[in-house]
Amino acid sequence: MTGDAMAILTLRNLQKYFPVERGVFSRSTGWIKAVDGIDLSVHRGETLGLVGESGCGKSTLGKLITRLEDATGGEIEFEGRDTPSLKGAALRELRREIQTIFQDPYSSLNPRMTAYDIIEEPLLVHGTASKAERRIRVFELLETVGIRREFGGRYPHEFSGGQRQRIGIARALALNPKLVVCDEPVSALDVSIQAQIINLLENLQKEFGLTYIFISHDLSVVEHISDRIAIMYLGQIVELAESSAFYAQAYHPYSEALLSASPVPDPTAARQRIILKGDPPSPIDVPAGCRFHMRCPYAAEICRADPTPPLEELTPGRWVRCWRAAEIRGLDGQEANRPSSKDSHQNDSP
Amino acid sequence: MRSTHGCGSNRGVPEQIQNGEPPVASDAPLLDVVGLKTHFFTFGGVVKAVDGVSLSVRRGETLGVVGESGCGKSVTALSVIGLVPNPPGRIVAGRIDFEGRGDVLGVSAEAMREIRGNEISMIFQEPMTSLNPVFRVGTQIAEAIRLHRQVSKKEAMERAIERLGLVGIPSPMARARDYPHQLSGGMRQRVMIAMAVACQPKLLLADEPTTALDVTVQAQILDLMNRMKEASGAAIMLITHDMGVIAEMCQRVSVMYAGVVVEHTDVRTLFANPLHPYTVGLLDSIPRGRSKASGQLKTIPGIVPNLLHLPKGCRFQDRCSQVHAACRESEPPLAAVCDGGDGGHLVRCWLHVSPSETPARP
Repeated sequence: MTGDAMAILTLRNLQKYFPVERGVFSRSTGWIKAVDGIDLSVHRGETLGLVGESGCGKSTLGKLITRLEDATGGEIEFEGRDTPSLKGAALRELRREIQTIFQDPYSSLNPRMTAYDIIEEPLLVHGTASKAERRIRVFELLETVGIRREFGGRYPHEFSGGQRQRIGIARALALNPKLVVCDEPVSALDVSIQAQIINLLENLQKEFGLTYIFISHDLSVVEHISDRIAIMYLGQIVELAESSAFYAQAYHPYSEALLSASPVPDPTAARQRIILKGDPPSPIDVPAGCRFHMRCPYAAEICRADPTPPLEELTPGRWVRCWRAAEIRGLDGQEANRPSSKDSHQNDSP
Repeated sequence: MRSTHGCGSNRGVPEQIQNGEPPVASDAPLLDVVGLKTHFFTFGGVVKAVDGVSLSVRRGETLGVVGESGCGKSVTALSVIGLVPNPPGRIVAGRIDFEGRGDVLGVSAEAMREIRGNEISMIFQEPMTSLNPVFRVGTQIAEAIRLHRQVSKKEAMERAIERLGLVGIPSPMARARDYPHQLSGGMRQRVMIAMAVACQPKLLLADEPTTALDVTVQAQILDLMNRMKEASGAAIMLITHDMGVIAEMCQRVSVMYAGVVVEHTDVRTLFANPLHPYTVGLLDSIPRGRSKASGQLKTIPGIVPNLLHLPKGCRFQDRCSQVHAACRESEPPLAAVCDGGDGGHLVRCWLHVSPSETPARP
């Protein structure tokens, strides 16, 4: 039942619901559908950009992949293993292979440990290496991320934000992971430092053949680093495409608005900004029909009624969750390539 | 090509982008900051957060102040509005002239309160921490109105509700009775803007007003700020680290680094013909329109210097690719490189200023 030969990670109808609790006895009064039916394949060696606004579920999705959270439903397959069912030694092995780089280098490093100890810790927890071997490895990692080895004895507060993020990266690389979930790794950094970290991440990917899931709300950073890009809205993927094709023309109305809303550093650019009405709806009471219909400039009758549109392959490699995308983008008829036309059955996931 | 003739560095500014500059309402600046020095006296030593900043905001314009964290852009705004925490902070030198009325630094605390919120007001970055969590938002706006206008409580509340409507909050009557935590981030920032413009200030200081917001909400708030500015004719000093926001909102820009202005010019010249190596580096390090295949981002090596131990000479010397002997000797002045029609292009760099030239200011 492998979907895709290139896939290192495959998600099928993945769901994560959090209970909404009210009152003294924490009665459950509803569900926050943080991740609600994600189908996605991540190819070996690629960088998949995961973009969306706050509350769209992108960080929760990252936590499900690394098993920091347990899914409510659906399947996660990592290199042929069904990860939600893993326990004990197999789970520890998975956690070695999938690592995370966190957003905030200020709160994700233990202030009472030195940089050396922080990087050594995963080797201690997972490894069987001797003290001398660990020492060689930590110095090697410090060098890889561009921190002088004599700084190993310093504490996090003695480093700048960019250097702390380098320590976080070294810690993530310590166990030679295959997949790294980067959760907003440069959002807390200044522009000039951001560029240094992005370059470092790209170099490390080339050197160690890493696969990245790069979670961000910054479309220009994602454009630079990603091979493919997935746009999330209210717990669902609304568009999945090759990065270059996506930036040439977004198909889903939400992606289009998101692209047009991000400020372009060029005062001569004449652009039409699509300004969406209202805030994203709360994931507690998700609207019926298409989840974006209340803010969508193209919304029609079909969009307001159930069911939610499916994620369909409009052109090869390009998946869009919109009833009207083909019509709006002028792809009606022959070009539209429905998933049913492919040989495999419903297992044909993006 | 008016501004680039005879200049040391001409990168070929296309003809058409020099036209169509927004008209400037008046020549006399609304706000004129000269040689401002705000220092913080800490146990570790004197932190020169703002160390000789000169900038001016004209009537009806949006001046962008851009720089990385710790460059002193927020402290500059706090100095203007008289909110520098003292101790440890103190304005040790400089002049802040508002509306040609003379130095506001010398005025009494009462006179400053009269100006603050009334003629100059401020929008802060984080609307959750800058609104009072225990008062209804309507009450908070009405309070600002009652501080500066002789109106009854009822009338102030009516005006507050009207303002909430103006900033695009649906059903303002009901929302006025909400507490800040009941509103989303975008709505809270709208409340902050409603409060800031409640008394129709002449100058609005906006400190990273959209940094904490999502992209689509950011677009709404920037659009709202522009509409408010057009309706009231207020000038805006927009502090941000985002060059994209600068490009979309501002007419003129001051670039700050380690407590000083390193470059000042109109926004089109800044993007087309940046002169200071820091500005060049900052613009080059933004990822834009380049795919992964096109290679690495350019970076500025190193980090911002510690404000406790600034190097002798130019503050940017340790990160600069074009550093030479003069940079290590003494600090260059902020000097005009060529007299553009829009107040000139000022740069603090020995590459563009001969050591004999006299300092200029915006």
